[in-house]
Amino acid sequence: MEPEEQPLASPPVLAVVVTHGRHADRFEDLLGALAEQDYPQLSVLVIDAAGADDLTDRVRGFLPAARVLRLPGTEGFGAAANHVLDRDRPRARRAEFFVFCHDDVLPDPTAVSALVEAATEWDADVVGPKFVARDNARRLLHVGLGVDRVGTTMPLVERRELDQGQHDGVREVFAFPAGFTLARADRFAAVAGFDDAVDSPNDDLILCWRARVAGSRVLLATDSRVRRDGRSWAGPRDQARHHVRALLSCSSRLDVLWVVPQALALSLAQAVGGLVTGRPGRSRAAVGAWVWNLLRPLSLWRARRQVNAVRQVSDRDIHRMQVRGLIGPRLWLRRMGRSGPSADAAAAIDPAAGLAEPGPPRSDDATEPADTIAAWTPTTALIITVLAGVVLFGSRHLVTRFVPAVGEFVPFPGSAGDLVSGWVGGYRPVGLGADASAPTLVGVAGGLGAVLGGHLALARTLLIVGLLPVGVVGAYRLLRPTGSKPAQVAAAVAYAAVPLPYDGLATGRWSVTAAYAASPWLLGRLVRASLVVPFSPDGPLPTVRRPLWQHMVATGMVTGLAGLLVPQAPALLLLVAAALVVGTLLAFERRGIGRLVAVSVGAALVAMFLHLPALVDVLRSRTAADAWMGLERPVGAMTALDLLRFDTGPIGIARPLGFCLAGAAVLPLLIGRDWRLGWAVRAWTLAVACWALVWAQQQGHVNVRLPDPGVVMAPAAAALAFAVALGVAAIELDVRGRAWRFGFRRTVSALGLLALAAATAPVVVASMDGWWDMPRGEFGGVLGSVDAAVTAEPSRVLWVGDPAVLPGGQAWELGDGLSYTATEAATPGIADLWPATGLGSSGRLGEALGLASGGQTSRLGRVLAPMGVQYVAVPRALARASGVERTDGASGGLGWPAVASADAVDGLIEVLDGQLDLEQIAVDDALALYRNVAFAPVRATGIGPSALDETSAAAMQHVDLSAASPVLVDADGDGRTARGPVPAGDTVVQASSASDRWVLEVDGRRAERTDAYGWANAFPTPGGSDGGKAVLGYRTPLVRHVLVAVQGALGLLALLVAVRMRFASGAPSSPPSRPDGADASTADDRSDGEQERDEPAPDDALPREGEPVPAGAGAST
Amino acid sequence: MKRPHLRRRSPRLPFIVLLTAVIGAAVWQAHIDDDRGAALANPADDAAAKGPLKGMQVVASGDTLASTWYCAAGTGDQGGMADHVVTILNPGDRSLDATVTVYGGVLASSSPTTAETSEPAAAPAAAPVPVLRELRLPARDQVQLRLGDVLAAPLVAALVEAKGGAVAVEHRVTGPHGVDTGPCASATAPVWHLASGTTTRDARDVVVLFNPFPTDAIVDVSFDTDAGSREPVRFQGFPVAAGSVVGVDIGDDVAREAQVSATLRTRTGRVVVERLQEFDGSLGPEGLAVALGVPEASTAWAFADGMVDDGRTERIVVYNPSDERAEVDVSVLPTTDEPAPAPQPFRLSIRAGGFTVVDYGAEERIAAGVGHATVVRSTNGVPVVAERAMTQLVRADDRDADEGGTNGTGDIAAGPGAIVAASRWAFPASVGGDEATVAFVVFNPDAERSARATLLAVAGGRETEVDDARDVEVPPGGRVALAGDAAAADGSSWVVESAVPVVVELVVVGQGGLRLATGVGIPSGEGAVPLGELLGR
Repeated sequence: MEPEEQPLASPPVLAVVVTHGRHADRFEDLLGALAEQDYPQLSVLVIDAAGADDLTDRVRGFLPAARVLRLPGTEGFGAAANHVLDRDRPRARRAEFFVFCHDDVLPDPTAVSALVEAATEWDADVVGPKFVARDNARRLLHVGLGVDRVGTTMPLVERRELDQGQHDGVREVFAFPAGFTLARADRFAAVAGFDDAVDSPNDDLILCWRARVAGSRVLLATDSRVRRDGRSWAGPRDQARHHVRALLSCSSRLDVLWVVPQALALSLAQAVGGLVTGRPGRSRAAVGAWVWNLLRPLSLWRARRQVNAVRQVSDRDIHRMQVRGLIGPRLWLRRMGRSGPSADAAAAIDPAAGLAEPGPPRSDDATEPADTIAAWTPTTALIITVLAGVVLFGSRHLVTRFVPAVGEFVPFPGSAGDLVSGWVGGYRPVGLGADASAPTLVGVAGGLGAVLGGHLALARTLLIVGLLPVGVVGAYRLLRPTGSKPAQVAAAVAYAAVPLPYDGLATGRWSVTAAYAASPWLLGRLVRASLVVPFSPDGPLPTVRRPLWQHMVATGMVTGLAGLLVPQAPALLLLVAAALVVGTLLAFERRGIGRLVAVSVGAALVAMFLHLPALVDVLRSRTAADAWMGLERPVGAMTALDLLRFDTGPIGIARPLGFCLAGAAVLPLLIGRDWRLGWAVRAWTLAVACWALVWAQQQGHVNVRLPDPGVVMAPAAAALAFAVALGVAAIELDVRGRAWRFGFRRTVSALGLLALAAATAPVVVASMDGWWDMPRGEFGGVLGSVDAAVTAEPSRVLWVGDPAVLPGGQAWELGDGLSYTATEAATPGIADLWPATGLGSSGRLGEALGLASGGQTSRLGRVLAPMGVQYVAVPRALARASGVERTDGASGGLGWPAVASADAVDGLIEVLDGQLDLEQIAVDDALALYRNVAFAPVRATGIGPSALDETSAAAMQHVDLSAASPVLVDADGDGRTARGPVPAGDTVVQASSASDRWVLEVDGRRAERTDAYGWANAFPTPGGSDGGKAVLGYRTPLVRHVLVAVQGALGLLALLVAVRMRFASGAPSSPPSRPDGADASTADDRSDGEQERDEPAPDDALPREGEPVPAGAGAST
Repeated sequence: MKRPHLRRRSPRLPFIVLLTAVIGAAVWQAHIDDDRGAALANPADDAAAKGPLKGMQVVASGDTLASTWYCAAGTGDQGGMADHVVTILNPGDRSLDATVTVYGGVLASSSPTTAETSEPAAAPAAAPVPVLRELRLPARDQVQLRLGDVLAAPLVAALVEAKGGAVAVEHRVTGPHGVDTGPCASATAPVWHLASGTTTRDARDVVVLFNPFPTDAIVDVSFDTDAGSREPVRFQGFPVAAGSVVGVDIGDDVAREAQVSATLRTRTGRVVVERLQEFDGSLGPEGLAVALGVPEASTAWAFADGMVDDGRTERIVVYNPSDERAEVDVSVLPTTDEPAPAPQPFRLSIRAGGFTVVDYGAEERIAAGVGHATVVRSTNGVPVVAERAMTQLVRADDRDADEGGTNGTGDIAAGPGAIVAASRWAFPASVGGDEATVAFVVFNPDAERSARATLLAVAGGRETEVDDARDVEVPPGGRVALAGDAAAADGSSWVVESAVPVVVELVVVGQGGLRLATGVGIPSGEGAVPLGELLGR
């Protein structure tokens, strides 16, 4: 109700309520509270900043005399509140004080009078209240804010602090949270009110700072009590923007020169810290705040002018009122230094529901005393920062220069559209072409390239170099349910110390690097699915017990993603699951076995269906199915010790150091208890299983098709990293908390940590060159003329050699460990990877090579001529000779990953040298290149009928096709369409696998298709004197479109399920609790703003109100 | 009823034991692997592991779809020093088509290719366009083609491509100073070795480089003489154009050397290398010899034939083209009616890139007038190249006695030995008849098994066993000579078969006992065994 006539002594106060309609349910509460204010001279102005609904009736229901101002367009808080300064507001002009209210606060009846009293008694111009929790007035939220010189704010109360009157009284503060701020009207007008650019501020920093600069007094009157909930009005992004705005607009010129660089440096540090700790949102906020402000120079200039117009106080006096030093780093370190999440938990605020109520005591059968599980410490933070630095440092040239196209790291030719078109087109141009689908990776690369604005090179860099951090982060996340940051960091460090991915880069094995990236995620999905402690609802960090099918879909999706680059990923998943089952039995346990089996089988099926077109192609062909599992590898040279060291390439400087990782991984077996020991047994079983499989193959004990040994060893690496982390967890839980003597356990622990540190040495050394020992060049750099030639006359390049150095990697097998592939460009592109599913007639290439190798012909050029092969290339090394020189002086060429023997390669070159129609082209020492002087173009005319009727590859050595002429030269990027004039009455021969899907139209008339050479396509053109314009195109069958559509739908479905699991909140099946009475689910990770779930939550959740927010950064945790 | 609480058994100890056992086994295995790797590193084993057919021309199996032969050395103009005739043998039971492409070339030196060395040198002419000739190869018969009839050029070489497998090609060169036959090459190689050669005043040593490929070849040549190694500038980066044949008289650059070994190494491209060695008789016997280069050194060589007496000399030249010193044993295995101990082997230590000559005529331990075989083995696994150079001088008075002539004469034969033993050897060149007789010396290198050899005459679509040379036993380590049937000799090719792999050489003996030619035949690839493997048993 409207207050009665006021005594003259009471200055008139106008309460300005700015509402955006977001808190409709609490708006009436505020109106009621204002109506109950005991201040006699209070009038109310409601500014409806949303302007959507007419609030007049609602307001008049409580405050009949109140005015409602509807603004036509949505405005921010500052701009809306500043309307009180409009000249057409008589009531505002009469008011001596304004009280600016948010629409969801609940002031006590004496709140306004207490503010006015403080203002008048202490001659203050801006006065703020004490905020307490809305649902528990004993919980303090705020009694003002401390502010440092860069604009970082900090609460002056501890989180969840009880209000026992300890902060009562009137005091000067630099700023206070927004929500219920009293400002003297004339002063408010003098400082130009709020900053118009500020929208929904969490605090009144800018207003208070402006007032301070103008010489006003800013007070906190705790007698004025206002209730509110704990959520922030502004997200970290907006808070960061506001604080940078405050710094830039309120600082003097001198301060801008001195303080702004500090703030900028701090923001950058926060950005890096956000990236390192997996909080990209924080990084975005930190950097974006500066970008947002600097993009508004005019507004900023205007704000500075307003402040400078009233500036009365020197910088020194301003700084005297601010907190000394930098708040952000100090609070960050202080928080990390807490002994455990309990400290955080005690003060944790549920961002969604306000203050957390004390929970029931922790049950006695809890697995571990949670307060012994450590959170971030300065040491762990430093280690993770250094780790990120090493990875970045080692990859610097790959990121800033280029990723050489060597081995499986093929280039992404054409445009993003070509790649997507090639994926959905149902035709594989690799080899002699085939009716088959391109790998899903092609579509993903195209899609990613499109997202990146067509920058396929950037997409390629991300898909290659990005695998390193993905793997390390995967290892870090693997241990997250343990709640131990040191364990997580140890896992990351141990996994980063594994030389596999760097060897994969150095030797051009994309599949190895991808397997490295995927393995910890695969392992993580399986261990979570097992629901065995600590990956269970009753673990240190409780998880939601999700249905089995959700685990299957999520695991299948991870496996499917891995399958983009590791076709054998489903088999790898089954291997990991089988090893975990065996490990479970070896740990004398049974729990989780059934779930492991079910989830792994289901996930493998899901993963295969996520690659549905390729799955169909594999199932259609025994050859493709065989090749899909890997190469028929000859007995290799790897010993068991090599396996223990993960010695798969050039990385590594000293043999003993290679064993350090395994040594560190032994730690949990020696000192671990309970789940640390049980999972260590499982991890070691997995590692040994992977090693044993590779070892047995290398020694010739098993004759199975296997992918690259590095691929099989990647899960072993993840398992060892897992074990290392379990060892660190065991140090925390089983040594530090139990054994106080410096005995066996502590000695072993120290040795284990030393071994882990030593294991990182080779990787640190390898990082020095910035390339991870990758070749500095590529064959493409010396094959420009070849590219031009095969474009000018459509033809192919036949690559044959050791698949370890063959561009494109694994291809069709030739024997003696050799492989071959063929492309219509100088080097294979991404669409030519894993050609196994598109055999078509490509076996003829191998047949031709076999004829030459077997001494059956010295005219290989003629045999290859009908296949359109203009060049034959045999790589001797991974890249051109100058590119494989390494900084350490060693050869960067063929190392042990070689599949074929050197004799086999030399023999092949000798055979090709001896061919009478292959001209040797000297381009590089690392490449034997031959030009087929007898070749016929891929699309050609002028070939006689007798030659077209010859179906025997061997017989072609007696047929000369060198007179054939190229036609249909203008081809699309996806290889499915070609255009050009064709002669009349001739036969257009297309040297691709025979298929009715190929259609030639000459001047719109379809030419009849027949077989040429028994395997290719021939199109007799219509007779007449002149030819015509012809279009040769591949008609994609409907079933291919359906398969791709189903694949896309399945992928989308899986993505939706994964997103739902990731972001949907859920309650733990059995609410755990903490010894201190706090809800256990609010431990450590809750402090990161995460909600309870078994899946990691994004770290971009809204911060708790009152967290220190440095200028240009989100709330620091 | 409440179940009693049992303490769960810890997996720690059993698992650590298990893991230790696994890792221990791994370490043990690794040591075994290291030992195995060390064993594999033995160069001798490496050499032994190489294929048996490398380094020697062979006849492909019958089911081979095509075979290609390269006949490099010979002249095609009138009065040439080595008129070039190619003989193609089709021992199969169906006729085949073949194409012979004849390439013409010139001598790259200033020396003329004619016998009249007093004529001024002509400027090298541009290489003529190759000429292709289609041939039909009747079953079990041979076809001869004089290349000069196809293309007249100072040097002519032939590329023979047959649309079938078991074809053997030899060529015969005939000049004013002699005649010789030798196998053509069935493969090309990046490196060729010529162990022997002479550039004395009475000798010409012409090395012919044949490049039938579409790639220009660049060749580096290094020589080793008694005066040391030489790498003449002219022969560094020596070009051999694509589709050409080039001859170089190495006497222009390595003059007056009694023994010259050479290695020709291609930087790019491929060539076939042959040597024409001619003696004009001014200082000793005259003669002409053609010898194919050796594409790959070997650890074991065998020469089935050999003899020294008053008119005959025999020298074994062992050339070590490798980078390591070679320790070589040269063993002479005489054929005597009475059991007699073989002479002590000659133990040679040959520096890298050097050669050593064993002159049997100057060695007392070699019995004169006794036929023998020679085996050359590298005892330290360093591969070498072995050639044998034989000369025969028929004294003037002997000729006077026989023919009433006044001048002395003779012939030479020089060429590499065999590095394989085979169960079938082919000799396509048709020699014999009234002017000469042929004999085939069969050496059985197997120290344990006897061989039974049969000589077949192939001509006119038939393969006929020679009566006196049927199923002749060759004792272990022994040798026998199978005489060709004089009636079948003219126009016949010859094949020697044996169930046990043997080494066979052809000896063509002219009137007055003059050896016109001597050399190994062409083994069949099927069933061929490296000599190093066989001798090591």
